[in-house]
Amino acid sequence: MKKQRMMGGLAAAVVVALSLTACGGGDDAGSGGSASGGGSDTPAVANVINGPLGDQGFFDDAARGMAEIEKAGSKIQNIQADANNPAQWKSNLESVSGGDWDLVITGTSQMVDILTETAPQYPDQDYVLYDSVVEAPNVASIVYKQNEGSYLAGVLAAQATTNTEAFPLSSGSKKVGLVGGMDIPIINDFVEGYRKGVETVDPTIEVLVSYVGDFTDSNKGFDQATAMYEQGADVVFQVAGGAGIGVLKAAEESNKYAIGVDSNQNGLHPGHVLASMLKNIGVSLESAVEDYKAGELAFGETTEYGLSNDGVSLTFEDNGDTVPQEIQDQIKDYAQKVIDGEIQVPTAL
Amino acid sequence: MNALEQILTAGTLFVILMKVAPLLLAAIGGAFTQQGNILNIGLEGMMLIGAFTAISVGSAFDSALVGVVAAVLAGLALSLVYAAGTLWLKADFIVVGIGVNLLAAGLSVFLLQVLYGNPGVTPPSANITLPRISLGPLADVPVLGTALNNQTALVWLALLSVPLASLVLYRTRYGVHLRAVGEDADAAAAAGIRVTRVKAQSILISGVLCGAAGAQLAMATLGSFTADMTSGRGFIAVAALTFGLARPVRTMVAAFIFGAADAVADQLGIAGFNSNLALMTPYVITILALVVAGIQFRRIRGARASATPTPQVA
Repeated sequence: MKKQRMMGGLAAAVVVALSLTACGGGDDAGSGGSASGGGSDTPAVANVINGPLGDQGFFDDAARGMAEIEKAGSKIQNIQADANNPAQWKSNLESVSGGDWDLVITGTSQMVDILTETAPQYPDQDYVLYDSVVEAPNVASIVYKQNEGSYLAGVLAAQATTNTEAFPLSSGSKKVGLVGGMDIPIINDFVEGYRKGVETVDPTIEVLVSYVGDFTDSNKGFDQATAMYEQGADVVFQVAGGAGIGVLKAAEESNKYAIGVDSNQNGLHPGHVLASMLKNIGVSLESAVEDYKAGELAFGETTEYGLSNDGVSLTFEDNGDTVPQEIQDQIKDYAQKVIDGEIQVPTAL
Repeated sequence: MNALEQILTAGTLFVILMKVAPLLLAAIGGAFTQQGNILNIGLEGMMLIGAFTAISVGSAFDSALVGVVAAVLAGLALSLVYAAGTLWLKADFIVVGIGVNLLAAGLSVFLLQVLYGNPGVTPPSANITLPRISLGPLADVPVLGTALNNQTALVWLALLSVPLASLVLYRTRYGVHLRAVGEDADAAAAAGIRVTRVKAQSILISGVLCGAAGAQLAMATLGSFTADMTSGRGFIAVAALTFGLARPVRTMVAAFIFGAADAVADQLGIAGFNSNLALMTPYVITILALVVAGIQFRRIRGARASATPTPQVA
């Protein structure tokens, strides 16, 4: 009740701030809204976020990309919102769609319905949608092949449970796990890739999968991961957002291994988090804006970011040298095979 | 098969106790207000703010004890807000309860951002966990020893809160007054009981217990706070105390049924059952068990009512 009023006030403040910047910003914005794909050297870019920043993943990475875009000379704005308030997301999106911004960026499947409705209302406004697809002539969609990144996580997990010499905390049980947030297509795309990666190394390895049911319940994440470790799993890959924090903690508590996601979580529990799989949202947004500048951004179409164009990756940075170089090299070889099309990673999408 | 063996170990009882402790503390707290005829929806928010305070203050002072005390005070403070809104400003209990929950959710995220620059989770530097209590030689006692060994003090507090609540509710002057107020506030006022004060005290008790519940939730294993980490546990506590008719022992039984079902569901999911069914299991089992209990209770009460001319409310 109180909070809603607060958020309402915030939204009003955002709108006021936007109109002020739009007035003060001169006419570099507003004129560039041609549906054919831009061409301005320093396009004004607004990023409408359907939640708050600080998730150490998705939205933060998008904001990182926005910061790079700003460094390249563009006027930018990140517009945050309440995590569970679609009405506010919609009004935020509409408030920047009136022609003051050359490019409006938004993302996630939660924005699909809203953008599907809004985009035809502002046919002269150019949109970029990341991590989902909206088919409209003024929307350029970006999707990520999380199954490819997840494939590498699977390869790593399989190596860890079979090679007890290189991974001393492993029992050699040939069991690995994955704790997902919810049983939804995007998460299952991770699962598919992970299974394939494990299978590539050794098809006899068992993969345990469970879902927390939301992305916030870190205690349940902890409990499910602990149950997996008790059943003999050597490595658990978490794809559960905030709930995954509990999974990583469970690895430390059970003295086993985990793999992080979305941001570099390798340093959270030193010695226990082998690697983190990243979706490089920021990189993809930067390259989308570069394409826009060159007039090459494909509106009405979907661009895929996978291993080949750095859309997804597996990082070993700061993991305390828990993964020997030779195994990292092997994983790089697998990545190359995926890029070359030698290995096809199945998808749930 | 194998899955069943995995579920039915003494270790599972340990997990169940850990899952139940925060639920039980909050439910017993809510039972107090319910005895005074206030359905306290704000348990969730009080627990959440307790969880946040436990981690932020506890880690700042590097003391789990300070964290627990601070969590209890935070729960108490939020329950004061609830009491002020409902008793003095006479707003609807449910509406204020929702307000308290939203306030706790917003405030905890806001403070996460201000204090740690990250509204999602507390950083690794702010990590504090409760010490575990070892039972020593008693740990070898079969089943119970395994279940109770190395639990936190708050688990013990949760278990102790049940007989304590029974004692207070049924054996003290305050308990009698509270139940009289819950039964008929006007009659209680006519008898000279200070209704508002008695109700306010029950709300503050719920705040204290919810603060402790939050501390257990955040500090028992994780040692960190994540946004919205209570994830509906306050409402499960409300369900437990409602079906338990706000009686401590029945409420505890309801909480344990849920905790056990939740632990089983975790195993079912891993064993490859349909994940949505697995996630639903605790709620379905809880509802089924409580419906059966409710029917039985009604039968007993019906028998008692027909046996005695004036129905007694125990």
